[in-house]
Amino acid sequence: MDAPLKELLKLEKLTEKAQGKTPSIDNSLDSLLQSLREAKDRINAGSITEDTYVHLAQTVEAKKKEIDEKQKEIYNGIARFGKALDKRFTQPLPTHEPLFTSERAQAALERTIALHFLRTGQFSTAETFIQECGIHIEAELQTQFQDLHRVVLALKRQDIGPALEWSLKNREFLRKRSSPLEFYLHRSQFIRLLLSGPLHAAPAISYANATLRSFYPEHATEFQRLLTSVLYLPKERLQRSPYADLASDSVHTDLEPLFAKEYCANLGMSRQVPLRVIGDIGGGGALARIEKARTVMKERKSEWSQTDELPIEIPLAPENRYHSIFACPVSKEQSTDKNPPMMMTCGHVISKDSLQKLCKSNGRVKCPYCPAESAQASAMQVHF
Amino acid sequence: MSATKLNADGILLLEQPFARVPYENYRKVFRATQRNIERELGNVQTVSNDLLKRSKSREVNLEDAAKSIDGMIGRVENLKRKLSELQDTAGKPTLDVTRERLQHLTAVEALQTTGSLDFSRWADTRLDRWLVDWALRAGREKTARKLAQDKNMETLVDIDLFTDIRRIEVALSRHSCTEALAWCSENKTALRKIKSTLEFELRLQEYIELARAQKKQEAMAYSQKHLASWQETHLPQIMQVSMLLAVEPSTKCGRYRRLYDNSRWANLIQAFRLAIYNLNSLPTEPLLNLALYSGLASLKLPSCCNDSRNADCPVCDPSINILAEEVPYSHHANSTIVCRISGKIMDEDNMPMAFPNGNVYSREALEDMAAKHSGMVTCPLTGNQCQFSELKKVFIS
Repeated sequence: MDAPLKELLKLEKLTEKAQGKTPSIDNSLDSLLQSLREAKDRINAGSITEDTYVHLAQTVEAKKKEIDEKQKEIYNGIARFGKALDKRFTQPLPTHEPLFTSERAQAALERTIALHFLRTGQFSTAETFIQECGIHIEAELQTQFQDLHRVVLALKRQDIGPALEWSLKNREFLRKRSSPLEFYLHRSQFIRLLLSGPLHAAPAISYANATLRSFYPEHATEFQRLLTSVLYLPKERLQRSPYADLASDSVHTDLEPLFAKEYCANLGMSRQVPLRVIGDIGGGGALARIEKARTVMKERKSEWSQTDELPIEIPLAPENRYHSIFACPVSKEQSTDKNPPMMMTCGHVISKDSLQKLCKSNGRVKCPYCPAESAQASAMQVHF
Repeated sequence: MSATKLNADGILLLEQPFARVPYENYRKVFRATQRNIERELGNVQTVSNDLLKRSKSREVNLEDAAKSIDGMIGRVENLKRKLSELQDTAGKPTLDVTRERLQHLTAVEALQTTGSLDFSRWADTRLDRWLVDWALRAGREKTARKLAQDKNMETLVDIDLFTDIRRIEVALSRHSCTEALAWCSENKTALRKIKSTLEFELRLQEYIELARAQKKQEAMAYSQKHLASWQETHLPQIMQVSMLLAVEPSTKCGRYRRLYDNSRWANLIQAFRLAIYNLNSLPTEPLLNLALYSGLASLKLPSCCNDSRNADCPVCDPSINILAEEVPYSHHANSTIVCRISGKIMDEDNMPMAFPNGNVYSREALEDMAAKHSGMVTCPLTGNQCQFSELKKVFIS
């Protein structure tokens, strides 16, 4: 955006009071006013002559010209700015047939947006929106989000109480997921106590005694690190020690997304905010790629049945991989229910169709990737 | 948070309206300034030339001259005031908004990856901007204003523009063309450039309404004043509506019934919307929809639409799933398999391993399980158990 910004700056200077090649419009008008007033004075004094009128007409002409030139300067400045914008935005924004127009889709979209506001803690906006659209969000859901937000705000205020309360209530669930949440909550408090005052090891250690013991079996290494870090007080020394990471803020700030993740998982909700995930992918280059593919296909006059599958692959980051995708290495087609992935005795996997194609008349298949042969019947369907 | 490389051009594709709307606004201000200058100074020029002519032919009377000059002074002072007002209330603020928005875009261009907190904040703001844009287009003005206010981003969205659009559309839905015609007259040149026939359609509709009310004299006068100028290009239509004076609104005759039909108003609203969007470089679809479409298409898989739903997958969410119905499936030429237990990708470092029943999970997750249960592993889906050593390595490529 450097070029447009530069042109914009030039334009701003032009339109402010007294810059540019020609005098500012204000100045031109002032000088015209002066001439007019002088003429008026002459009339009142009775000393007006034809020359005055000539002079006046000339002044009007001249000032008008000045002003026109100034306007031209500004107009050129605007045009240059527009051109700089055109240069930066080389691709036009793609158009599309109206999307999500059915009532059902609209309702789904409204619900998604309402849940988004609730999820991100924008409760009053959510309320305004819910009222304005006349949709209904179950009270239970709203309370759940409000609870989540309450706990996260407490964590922000360095109060682990509500978060701890929730963790205790849902211990089984957290244990099944091997979640370190409870341990990390206590760890945060331990470190806070440790660094709260000059060489204040005693309260921290008694806290550790009371709460951290039970976590020893699962978090032995971290436990030992925490207790050894006591040797490195005060804070400045700790920051230079091998345990410097314990002194950083992330020990405390990471608790918020961790808690949100566990809380949402408990309710069967996604760990990331859905609209952000989709928006980041869509606005991060996917739209550009799809549009490019569309124009290329149009040029080649090839058909793309829009409702089927995208013609190109959009790369996804690892955290956006939620389902397994198996593309047969032989046919490059994605597996479906009718064409599932099959594993041969050597351990290599290809799609069922490819397996059948590679099958010889004696019912044996030669794996395309290793010298091993296996019986077609012994190939096992795998589920990812 | 991953460290995916930031695709600045991909991001900027959607930011065109963001940068262009204030630019178009400024051009409007410039045109208003120009009109004022031409009107007032043109007049002053005429008067001063006239004075000169009269003085040459010795027809000038001092009192009249004084009055003329007073008039001229009045006009110039008026112009000064108007220009100053335009600059303060419209000109400078618009340039300020332009600068702010360009700087907002520069900020994201400077980022290298999408993993930083800075990008996360920028993306949050972007989603909020899209939500405001969507809400304004959907007529949810209260929500839009509240969101813009709460997030302090009133300069990053175009509430006033959409409020104006809404005002005119509401008037049209109440069968009034006045507001739309006022807008047309303010934007005559631009409309002519895109060869828009909006003004003609509006005039035609007003004529039809006069005919409907049986105000024959007024209708004829109206036609003379406002339709005649379009004769060259639209004669057949003009002739058709002029027949309406002889036809009752309750007519069964197809051609005239269509002219009297109220659905023409819906078409007018649509035509107006397209014209004003065009003039302001606004996209016809809300940006949120475009982003959703491409985002959903990148993620949608057959597994999202059958029973194997994953709570983390946005497309599997019930409401979002309905939106995904309109979108094509994603395309993948290569395999990526994800462990159902840990959610991690299975590859050479974390090999997939198969149970005797064919279910596959990642080595790490299974090792973890085996360590806690003395070598036994259980398939989470079926409950089948076996020893870790009985698992088979799976090679997918």
